[in-house]
Amino acid sequence: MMHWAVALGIVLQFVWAWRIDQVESIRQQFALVNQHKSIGMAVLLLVVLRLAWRAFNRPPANPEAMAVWERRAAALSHGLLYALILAIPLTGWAYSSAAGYGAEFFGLLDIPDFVPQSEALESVLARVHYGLGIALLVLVSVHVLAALRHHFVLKDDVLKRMLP
Amino acid sequence: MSMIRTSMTSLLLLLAWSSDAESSCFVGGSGGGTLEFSGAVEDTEFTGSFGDFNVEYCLGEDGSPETGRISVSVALASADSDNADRDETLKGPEFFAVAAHPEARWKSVAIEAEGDAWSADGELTLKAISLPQAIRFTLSPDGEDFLARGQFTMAGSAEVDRQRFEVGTGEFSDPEFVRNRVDVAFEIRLERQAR
Repeated sequence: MMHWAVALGIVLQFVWAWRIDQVESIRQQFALVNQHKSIGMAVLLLVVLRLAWRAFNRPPANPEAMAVWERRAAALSHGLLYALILAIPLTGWAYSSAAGYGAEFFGLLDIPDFVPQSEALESVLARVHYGLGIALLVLVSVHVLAALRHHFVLKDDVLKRMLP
Repeated sequence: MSMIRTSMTSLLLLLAWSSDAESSCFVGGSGGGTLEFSGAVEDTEFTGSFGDFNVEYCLGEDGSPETGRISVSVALASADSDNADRDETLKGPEFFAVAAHPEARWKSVAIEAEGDAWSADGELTLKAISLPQAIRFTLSPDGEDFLARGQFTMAGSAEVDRQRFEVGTGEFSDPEFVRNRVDVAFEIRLERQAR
């Protein structure tokens, strides 16, 4: 469940990032950016909860048939996925603070800034946030292809057991 | 005879010049002071400052601030709120329209004491719109003879309704998006103008 909630959040984030880029009205852009910030904070919260849950509940073992390189590749890509899903909202949060507008959570919380307002920092964080987003897009593609390979080529239960 | 007349004329001119040598006008600006503005977008406050402005305060007779005149000019393109996107929008046609109206001006009409402070009614010209605009300020060191001292500091504030000057048009005119009230704060060291 948590996996799919995070996945949905990530898909929405890419759609929103695209819409922010397309929209002409600055007011609409503001609204979209605030929604993007809010969804991002929700994803951050969910992924932290998911990691906490995982710390006490080990995920099911890999299928017996997996080769050592496949296990290593899976562990590495999963580790990278978590790192990116944590780093992207955190850089987004810092980016918002550097821009002087602060983070947002559906207007419900007063989220503190953890970096000072600065134009130089803002432009660096914007690039980092964007670059990490592209890296996530690539890694998610690998993740989806690997899941499909498990299901259609290797015919194991890896994809099936992820169903909610 | 003509030589005496010439000498007399010269002496009179010299007297006139020396009595007027000490100007009653004090000037200052971005080099020795700050001029800040704060507004709000979607309820998020921001503060910026003008990096280029000039103030002239000509005191009245006997150095009286009350009978003096104040004039201020601000280069609008010097607005900096530490956010590149916002500053670009601020200088653009919907806000300051700096290309067409590079300068804002304020001049006093009447100055009066209000306890330890002063208030001045004046006229603000922004985007070619001239409207009444009051400011409040203090002068320090308080109660000293500024003419004798040669300098003083003026600090104060004003509340500007941006809508009256058409700052923020189109989608920005909605006060739910961009707050109407802009708080202006300043602190400027003024020095006697050199002749």
